Amino acid sequence: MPDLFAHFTSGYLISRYPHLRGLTALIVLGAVLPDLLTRVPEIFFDRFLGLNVYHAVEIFHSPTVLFLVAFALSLLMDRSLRFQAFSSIFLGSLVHVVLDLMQIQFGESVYMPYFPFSFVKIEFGFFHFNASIAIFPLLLPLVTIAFLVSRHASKDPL
Amino acid sequence: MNNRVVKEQLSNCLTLNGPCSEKTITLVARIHAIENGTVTVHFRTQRGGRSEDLFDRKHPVLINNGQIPLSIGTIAALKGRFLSSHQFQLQAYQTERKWVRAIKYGISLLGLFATMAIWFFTFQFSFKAFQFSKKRIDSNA
Repeated sequence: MPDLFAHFTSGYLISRYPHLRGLTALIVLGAVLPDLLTRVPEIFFDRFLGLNVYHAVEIFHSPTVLFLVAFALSLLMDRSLRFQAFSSIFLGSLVHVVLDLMQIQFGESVYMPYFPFSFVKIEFGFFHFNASIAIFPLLLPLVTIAFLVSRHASKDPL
Repeated sequence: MNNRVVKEQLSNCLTLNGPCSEKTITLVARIHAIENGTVTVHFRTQRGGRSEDLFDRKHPVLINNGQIPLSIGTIAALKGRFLSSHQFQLQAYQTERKWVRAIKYGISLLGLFATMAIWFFTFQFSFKAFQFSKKRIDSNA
């Protein structure tokens, strides 16, 4: 996977589009959500409890599952925000999945985007799975500049 | 036969209780010994974070084409296929230095904190209504 900062950046930069600016928090949550749902249980259960949950949490990189998760999370939002929350979280998580699918894994891919309809694992192989570390020095100033420009242009910088 | 099935067969293959798959697979292994240019490894047969439990140390496997410039104890991903329960035909390998993963975790934490910061600046949680609502009216929404 690209690191979470790369995913955060993808969501944050998309939310700089004027019509989406008010949805920044939701879009960036969606952009990091698949890894939160996958890596956190892996670390907690595997490393601390010794329980193998790897195959169970792999499903959280499937758009179908993320659709349901976004729907469930949107129910935690104020009624007037629910549709925006659902669509924004789902949009962010789709961007996450697309970014992950663009990687080159060593060996076979680990992502099943068609689950539960198919267990086929897919990757497009555009960049190495650690490439996000190399572009971090570019992403950090990019996000900072986007934040500063937004703050200059608006009272609501986030 | 998919990779998961192949990996499930690996334990049996190593203990001679079952056939070894002829399919090319990628497995994680730890370099066990290097003697006279011959490399033997212990394959990881389980997932998880407790590394001492993960590698099958009872069944070292000889690596064919084992010109791996790695030291004993190094963990690497090996791509290839089993010739027998004791021989693995290596096609490619990849290893990751420890600092790469540490830096990736560090950068990821920065992304996580940034997400949390934006979230908590934007929303507040009401236990009474058990829902999030916006903290302020957004002029751009």
